Amino acid sequence: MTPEERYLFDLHGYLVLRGVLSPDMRRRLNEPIDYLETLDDNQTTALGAERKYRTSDNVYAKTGNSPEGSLGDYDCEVLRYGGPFEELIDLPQTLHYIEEMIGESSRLDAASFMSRNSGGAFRFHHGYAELLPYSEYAFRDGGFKCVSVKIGYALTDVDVEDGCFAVIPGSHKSNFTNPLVGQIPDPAHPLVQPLPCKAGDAIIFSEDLSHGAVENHGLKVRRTLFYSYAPAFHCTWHDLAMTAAGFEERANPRRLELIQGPSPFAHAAEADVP
Amino acid sequence: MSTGDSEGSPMKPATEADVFDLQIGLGESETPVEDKHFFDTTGYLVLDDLLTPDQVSQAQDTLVRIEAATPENITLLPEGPYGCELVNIIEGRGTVEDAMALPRVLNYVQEFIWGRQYRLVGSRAILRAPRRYSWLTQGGAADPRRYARYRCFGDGQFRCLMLTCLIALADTADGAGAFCAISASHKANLPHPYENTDLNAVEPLCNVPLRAGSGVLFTENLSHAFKPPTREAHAWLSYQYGPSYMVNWPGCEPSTDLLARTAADPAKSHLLLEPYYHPTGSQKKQKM
Repeated sequence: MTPEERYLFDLHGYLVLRGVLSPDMRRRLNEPIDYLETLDDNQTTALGAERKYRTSDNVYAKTGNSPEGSLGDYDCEVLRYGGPFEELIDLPQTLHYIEEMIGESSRLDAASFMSRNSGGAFRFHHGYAELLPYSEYAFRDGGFKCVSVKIGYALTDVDVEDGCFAVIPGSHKSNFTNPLVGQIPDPAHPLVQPLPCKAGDAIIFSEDLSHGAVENHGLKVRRTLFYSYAPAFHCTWHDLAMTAAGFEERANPRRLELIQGPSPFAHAAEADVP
Repeated sequence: MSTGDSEGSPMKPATEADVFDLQIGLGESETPVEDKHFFDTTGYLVLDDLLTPDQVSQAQDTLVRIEAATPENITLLPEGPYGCELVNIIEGRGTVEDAMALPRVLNYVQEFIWGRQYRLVGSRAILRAPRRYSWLTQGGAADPRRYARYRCFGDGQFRCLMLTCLIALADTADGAGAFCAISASHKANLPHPYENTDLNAVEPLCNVPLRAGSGVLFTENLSHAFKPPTREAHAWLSYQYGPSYMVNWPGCEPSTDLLARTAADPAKSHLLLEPYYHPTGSQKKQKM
């Protein structure tokens, strides 16, 4: 990270990284999604890429409109499908940010593809004052010590009217509960910073940052890949880091370590074992 | 933003806790404020008489049996950092299993870790031979073990990571073989300067003498050690607790047999849940 990136991440709780996915990479990521969307649910499940639809009782998501014959808002555990999605586990353009922000041996604890239709939104959640231990933003001894860092990769252009990601800059340090919690981010609110992206951009953020997505008033479907990382002693989010068959044979050592988790209790040298 | 209730008086803004139920059991335990103050100030609490004399005797017998013929799901480490260790001792049944879920201990664990989102991360028995030397752990801000962090916020909310409950199976009341710690070192901003110092020469190191069956609950971020036993070996039971998302210590995965026989025990089965971030269904507190 450059000095300016360090300063801005500490200041705001996020960074926008422009163009981290090359056009060829974007094509290779979108192609299997295009293909899977030609299949019915049973067929995608058989391929390991089960679609999990967002329902109207979800406390976080406001589901979008899905015209007759089209898919509703859904998530998909893409690592179970494999293919190019495995390349993002240790993408060189972003992994060094993760390593510096977490500040010790880390693991991937979740990866998910999200498809969001017109009309959908995601309500604000989290913030430092919540004291959620698994999302804490921390800076000590001259370095970041975050315990949950996430990257959202945009696979489509997402402007404000398309329901872009939105944050409250600085809320990763706020000592007061977010008054906008549970609300759909209003891009006109003075606290709210919408983060429009071009396809191939990425947003990297501390999970302690209050975040959500503004309402999609456009006609485009928003496609995003989220990859989440944590210190090695954290567990995974349910099955969201499960991989496709043969991953262990295909993966390079770093990629394998990020999935299997390095030694979870690093620094437990003989003198320090409890 | 809030708009006001039917009578026109301003409504309080919704808090995250109003909307999402991501943290359960906070503030439920009945820990006396004196205990919270002592733990926050010193980094440990002494818990007298956790085990009865009969339980102590039964646990000692179990350790002898296991050391002689170690079952498959317990690991014998002849040269652990504090002496011979039996890792995953809860597989030994009886008192060594029951002691992981002592109600008095769990009440503090719930208070100091994260409400009801806590679990057992590891367990071991420590067998300390006479004159066995022990290191002083680093503790405080200089301790590189992130999983050991101590956290307590200004309004008295604890979010500690690993806590250890150490139960003496031998009397260390005279100081020989005693657990010892540098009180308040969990908040030290600087590394301790005693890396190569004999424990007896570490001026701020305090003995925590315990009768057999008594224990000490401490944050792993506390600088601590054991004084060497002088004449006879000392045995200890050690249980590590962490937040619900902390994975098991290597070698401490519960066996299917253990899970089956503890399934009807709410406290034990809760401790042995697989690691998780949120309790099942916790995000459906309120429909929006």
